[in-house]
Amino acid sequence: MNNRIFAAFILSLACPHLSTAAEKSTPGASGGQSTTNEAEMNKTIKMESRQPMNMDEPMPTGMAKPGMKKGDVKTHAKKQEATMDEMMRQEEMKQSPPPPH
Amino acid sequence: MKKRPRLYTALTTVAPKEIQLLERRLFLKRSLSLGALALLTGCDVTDVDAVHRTLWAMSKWNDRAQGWLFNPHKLAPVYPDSAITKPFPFNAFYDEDEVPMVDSGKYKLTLGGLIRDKKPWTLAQLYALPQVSQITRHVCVEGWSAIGKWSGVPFRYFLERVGADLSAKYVGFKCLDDYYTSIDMATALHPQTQLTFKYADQILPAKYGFPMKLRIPTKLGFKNPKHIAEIYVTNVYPGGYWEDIGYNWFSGL
Repeated sequence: MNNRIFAAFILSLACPHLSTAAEKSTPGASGGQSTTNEAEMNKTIKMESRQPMNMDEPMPTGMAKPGMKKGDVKTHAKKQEATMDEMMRQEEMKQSPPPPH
Repeated sequence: MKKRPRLYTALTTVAPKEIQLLERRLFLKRSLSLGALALLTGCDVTDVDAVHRTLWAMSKWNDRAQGWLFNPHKLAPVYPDSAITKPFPFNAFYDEDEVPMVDSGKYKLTLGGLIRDKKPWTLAQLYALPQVSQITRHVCVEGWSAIGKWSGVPFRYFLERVGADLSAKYVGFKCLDDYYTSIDMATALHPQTQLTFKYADQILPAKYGFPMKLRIPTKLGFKNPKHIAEIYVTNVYPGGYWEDIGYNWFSGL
């Protein structure tokens, strides 16, 4: 049993490093200060188009498991929102000071 | 006399101490493989629920271990302009022609949870924030990576500006394409974590997440939400779409 726990520990430490192909190089900083122009933004928006998402189609990403559809994200998001909203409401009530008398 | 193989000849020129280091690394690698094998031999793979529970517990432990090992001051590698990947790949759970279009005039960023000033932000207000640029590598869990130039406001600056509780555990994101994810506060405060408004010095194209995405060069690509509609701070574990179906939550690089 102890060996199994030790193996799990070692594996858990190794996983993040085994799963990525991040290239290592010298760290540094880049860039300077700037702000974004709204006129430039509007120009960009007009150039693009969109089709409505086909929710019943399979997901085109390699991350998807067999049978997963594009619409699954919306379904999961609704469930998650319902759960989180209630828990966060309680959390905020605990943190906020009591109303003045 | 038999000629020595070239590899052997080359090794004779290596100092014994360096060979010892190599052997130690090999030993560690083999120990890890052996550990994984030992763990798998203990699983009854016909019991799917038990396997899922074991893997889920391991992933949770993995999150904690990565959280402990995360160095909030260690920067991700940055690259010169010449290293930028052209074209930068598009990747999402939908096709490129289904990217959500956002009316910039109506758009407002919503804030929630443990944030003092929850007033919504218009794009003009967000664009007025001081911006910096970074050329960093986006690493996808699918096995590919690409380098791009991203500009925007350091996320730490934004969180401080809105009075977020920086001692909270999580920052969550809800997106206009229904995607949702969350990150740890340490990563949110990392100097390279950026609320991004531009790609390659141009307004963020829709396919890369207009009107804004969160760029996190210390995490895998799916932890970089696009088309952000809401940001919230909480101590309640928020999970994420991919994370809830089994992908590792921390997913650090």
